[in-house]
Amino acid sequence: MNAEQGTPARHKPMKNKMSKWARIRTLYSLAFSDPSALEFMAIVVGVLASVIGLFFILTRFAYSAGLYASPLAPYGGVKGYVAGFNKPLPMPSEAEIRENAINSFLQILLESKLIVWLLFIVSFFITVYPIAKRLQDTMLPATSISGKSLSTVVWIGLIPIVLLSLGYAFLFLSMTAAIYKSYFNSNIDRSFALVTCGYVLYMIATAVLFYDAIASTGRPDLGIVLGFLVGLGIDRLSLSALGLIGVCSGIILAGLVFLGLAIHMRWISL
Amino acid sequence: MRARAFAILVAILFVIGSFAGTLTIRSGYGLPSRFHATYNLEALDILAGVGKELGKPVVYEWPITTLLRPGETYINITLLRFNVECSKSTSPAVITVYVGEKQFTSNGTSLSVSIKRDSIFFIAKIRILINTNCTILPGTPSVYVEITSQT
Repeated sequence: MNAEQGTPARHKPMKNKMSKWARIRTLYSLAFSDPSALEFMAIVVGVLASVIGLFFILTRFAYSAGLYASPLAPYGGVKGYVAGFNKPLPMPSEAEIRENAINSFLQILLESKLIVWLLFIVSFFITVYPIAKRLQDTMLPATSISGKSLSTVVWIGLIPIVLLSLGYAFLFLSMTAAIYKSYFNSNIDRSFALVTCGYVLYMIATAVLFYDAIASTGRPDLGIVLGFLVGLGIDRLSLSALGLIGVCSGIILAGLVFLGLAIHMRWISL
Repeated sequence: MRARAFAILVAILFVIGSFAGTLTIRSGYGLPSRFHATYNLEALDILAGVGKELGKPVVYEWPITTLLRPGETYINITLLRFNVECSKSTSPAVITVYVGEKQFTSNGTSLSVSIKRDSIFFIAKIRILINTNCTILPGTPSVYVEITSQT
């Protein structure tokens, strides 16, 4: 593989002898280049840590905006009855209030659409584009061979990355929500655990795939913001656990298929 | 090495952020210091009529759950538009507020208490007992609740 990197144009015939699958494999192996188990683990832990840190930051944001000022009542309305003809209203437990606060918090974040979209756009361009550019740098030697312009390669490379990033975003929905649940000492139901486990696996896969790219950009923290907000948006679609996994898997597959197709159709060339 | 350095940086930021966040939440900084709301006592005429027949008072209950800055908390509850004709020795209403395990009661149409809280959650239950031995005039009374907190 190393011999083929930076291959000058005169070696084009030799390159064409590579099968399409070999080229696809080569691209993916580039993403996996220079793997270090320790560093990989550090990235995974670091990203998880960022999610938890982000939780506190966003909570602080919601508090300071006074968004929690409205009553968070699990029981609504005033209940009136003739004494002795109804059971007294139980005192709401703090656990119920906390649970209610979580829902309100998520709702509040979603309702503040301006902030959501602003963060979305900013984080998208700061995070996704550098990753794309880093991958494009890997492909740079190929541009002179394929005859495609640099910008074409960048933008074609960007599409699967965007799709993969969106899939990556769903991880943060479940992870952040799981952290919320854990933080508020609530029970995590089976579906929730299923989604979380699915995304943990996906996160590991994505971290491996973009290991080098993520590390080189140095700004995956903003990617977490993006992921968190996209995740919230998906959450509001009220998809079931399986629905979420389906959407996530679909996006991941679409990204990978597009990437494969791009290589197959020689939009991206090695 | 860049990845490792980045991961370490994120981990450090996480620790700082966690502590800062926890302390911020604990202190209640940024939380509102005042909560106020008006609750209508619907269908009092009907319930009072039934209660009078049965010789039982009418009870209205509801919870108040909100996030409020911890510290010295003042609770003021006032019955509004409560038109009632009662003998002088009889209290037309009894207001009770339950905050945690504490309970405060007032015979009359208003209640003022103060408590010390260390939680960001304010959880209370208000109970208004209307004496049906009194003559309750038509209308829908309401209850104004104001909770203020001082750190």
